[in-house]
Amino acid sequence: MKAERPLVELKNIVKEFYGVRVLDNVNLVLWPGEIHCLVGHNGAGKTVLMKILSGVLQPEAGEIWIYGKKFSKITPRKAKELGIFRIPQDPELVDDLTVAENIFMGDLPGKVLFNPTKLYNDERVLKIIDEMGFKLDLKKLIRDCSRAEKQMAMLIRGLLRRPRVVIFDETTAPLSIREQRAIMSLIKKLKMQGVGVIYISHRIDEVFNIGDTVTVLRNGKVVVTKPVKDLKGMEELVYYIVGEEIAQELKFSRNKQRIDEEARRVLLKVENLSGDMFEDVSLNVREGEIVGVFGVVGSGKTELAETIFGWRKPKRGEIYLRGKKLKINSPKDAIKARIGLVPEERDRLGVIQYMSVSDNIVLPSIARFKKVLRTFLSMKEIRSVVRSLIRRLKIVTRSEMEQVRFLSGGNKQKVVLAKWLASNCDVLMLDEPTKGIDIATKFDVYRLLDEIAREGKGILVFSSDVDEILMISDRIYCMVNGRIVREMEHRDANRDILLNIALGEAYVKA
Amino acid sequence: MKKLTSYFFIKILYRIFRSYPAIPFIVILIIIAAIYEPAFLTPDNFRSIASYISILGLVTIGMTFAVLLGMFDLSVGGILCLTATIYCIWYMGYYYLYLPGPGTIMFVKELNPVLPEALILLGVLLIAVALGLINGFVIAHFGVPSIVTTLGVLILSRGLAWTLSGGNPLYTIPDYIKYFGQSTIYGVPLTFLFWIIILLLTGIMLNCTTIGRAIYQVGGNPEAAYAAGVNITSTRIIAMGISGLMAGLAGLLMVGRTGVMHPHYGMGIELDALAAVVVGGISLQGGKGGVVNTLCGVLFLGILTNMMNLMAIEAITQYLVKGAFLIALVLFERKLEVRTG
Repeated sequence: MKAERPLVELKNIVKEFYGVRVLDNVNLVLWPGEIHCLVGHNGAGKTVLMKILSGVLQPEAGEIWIYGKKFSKITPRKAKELGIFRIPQDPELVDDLTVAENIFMGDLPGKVLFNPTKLYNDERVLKIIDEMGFKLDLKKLIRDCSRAEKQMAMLIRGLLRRPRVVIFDETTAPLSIREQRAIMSLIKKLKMQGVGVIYISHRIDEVFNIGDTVTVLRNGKVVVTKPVKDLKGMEELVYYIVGEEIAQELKFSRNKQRIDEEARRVLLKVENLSGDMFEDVSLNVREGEIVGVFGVVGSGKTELAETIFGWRKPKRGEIYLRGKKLKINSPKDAIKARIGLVPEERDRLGVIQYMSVSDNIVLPSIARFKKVLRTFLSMKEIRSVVRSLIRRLKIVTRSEMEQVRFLSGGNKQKVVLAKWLASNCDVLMLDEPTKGIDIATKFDVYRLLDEIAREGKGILVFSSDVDEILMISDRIYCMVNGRIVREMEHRDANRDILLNIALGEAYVKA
Repeated sequence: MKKLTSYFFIKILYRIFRSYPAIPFIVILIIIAAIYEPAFLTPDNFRSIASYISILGLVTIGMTFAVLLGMFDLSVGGILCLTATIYCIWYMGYYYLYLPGPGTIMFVKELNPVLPEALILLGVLLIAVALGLINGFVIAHFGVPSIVTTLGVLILSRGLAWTLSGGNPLYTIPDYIKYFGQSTIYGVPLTFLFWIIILLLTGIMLNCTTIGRAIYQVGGNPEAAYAAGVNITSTRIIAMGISGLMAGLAGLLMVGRTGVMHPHYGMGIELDALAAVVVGGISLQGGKGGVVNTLCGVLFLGILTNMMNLMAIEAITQYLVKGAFLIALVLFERKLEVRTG
């Protein structure tokens, strides 16, 4: 059934950043009507490869063959002409312009003069929106749009240009389940039209759902390219992604004892807290306990975490630590009370990219190191603390002085964790702790959380990943539309119950 | 029913203030001026405001282009001065060569042949555009921060202007430019009309042409614009070229209005223009604002300066008042933004 000529052929692509080889002789072939899944952990080079194909980055060496024609390099403009379209992980849009203008960006109707009214009544756009069954206000500013709406705008921009190759770079990650389904059916429709689809995802189940072929990248090299139906199941794919040695270690189980309510003291207690996006939330965390807060994207988890941390102002309600009422007006107060937060947006809020690993780790606990005359920092002590943390957390970095921006996503997350370990906080809150993190690192993080909890500290995990919540938490709160609707012990919970609560009510509301 | 309409009215008012936060301040200024200074509300005074505004206004339009792209153009004062100087020199038919140092020497050199007037006009404007394009090229192509590049061009062009004029005022000015700078139609200064026309053209360009929209796209998020296939380099170069052109036009108007070319023309005008842009509510991050904001900012600065002149406030004190107003206004804008965003 295959057409004679592939749409895209990447041959021996090499790309280096600052002398580090991120792509090493990568080959990839895409046929018309094929859904080609690209998997691999963070920093494996998936996004870089796709940026090269869409012309945003230029390779150091290698050939790009498109429709049987050879290109040594392509620009975004060229890619657009060739009908190659990439939907990036973070929508590349202009905040202060309307949805419609962003959709038409780089391709405004009219050569020199441009007619704004045409923008909002374009039949093709309205038809696409209609077909997909979304609600999208074309006159809305991107600034006011949700993550999902932004992703939609990017998608429509791509579809408008009659693409022959569409690249989905983790497009479904921020979307609700219903929207994900719409995108899946869209991809299938594209396939029917003979469009080549490259689909990047962290989620292995998606590969089996829609993929025809899968290519696994590890550390910038292609491990395997295989038709999905030839795979012997998820284990085989996981094995390719993480490599032989690590596959053995991917086991984690926490001994979830029933917490003896009398024996363990309540560490953190939140009472009737209300704020942006959440109402009347009460919860508590005991010593040595991992508490999971489960809810879909937009259920108010992030806002709750940020409010407890003092990032946002609460409207009502109280927060107690060890029975003492806390007055938290800013993150500074929270840190003083020894509450830490690992934020969801790691790159923006978790680390300071241009500072070294060491500086990032000691950031909240810097006062601890004022040893020389009680004024100057003891560099020796900082070094020893940082080094021991790097060893303990297995942070992959050339030295503790390397800038954080050179680290992969998983290692950045470990740096954020190390930060709170160094400041020795009692309550650690984690917001989507393993989002966008590869499997091996994910389990490192789980093991670490288990370890921290054993030391008698309280951990509060906010997550929209059911499996994650089930795997690590002792007690689970379910959050729907900004309210905690259910609290349950780990033994009472399972996948179906949690999903029913979280999605069922979300559906009813929508 | 009445309640509803008043609510609607307030809502619209709020929306206007949010986009053009300088408007309430302008209204307050006018009220204060009208109460305390009877001379304020006279046609003569309006004429004087209008002709003051038009020169600063032209430079501010150029600055608007730069700021919409998230850049600064500090070179406008220098370009203004150099354009005006070369214009006068070409008209006079000779220039100075000023060699500083111990025993300063000044040569007077003949220009041969003397150019026709239309060509002179075209030539100086081309020079202004060229300087702007150089700015843009260095910024966009080599990635040098705009503040550094334009600072260099500012110093360079002013130095060149002083070298060519020998640091002297030049008094030989063609009559037609004086006429243009000083006459009125139905009591409205020509320069002001000229500025309004340019302002309208700018508005049309920014809103209704593809290059205008590209300026907003690149200013709002250059990476996104690049990935969407917008040519960000040429957009930046064109915008800086326009800024240079505006500075050149402002130089000609300045010469026309005063009837003399003084080497200190345009000193500090880049900061006034920047202040006007900020006061008008254009985001320094780029991608947000429009010509109405420019108009508001220029009006505010123009009226404020005029008012203080009428009240015979000393030049030194004027700086104090201007600075205080600037900070107050920007704080007010920030407050609005925080509440809505």
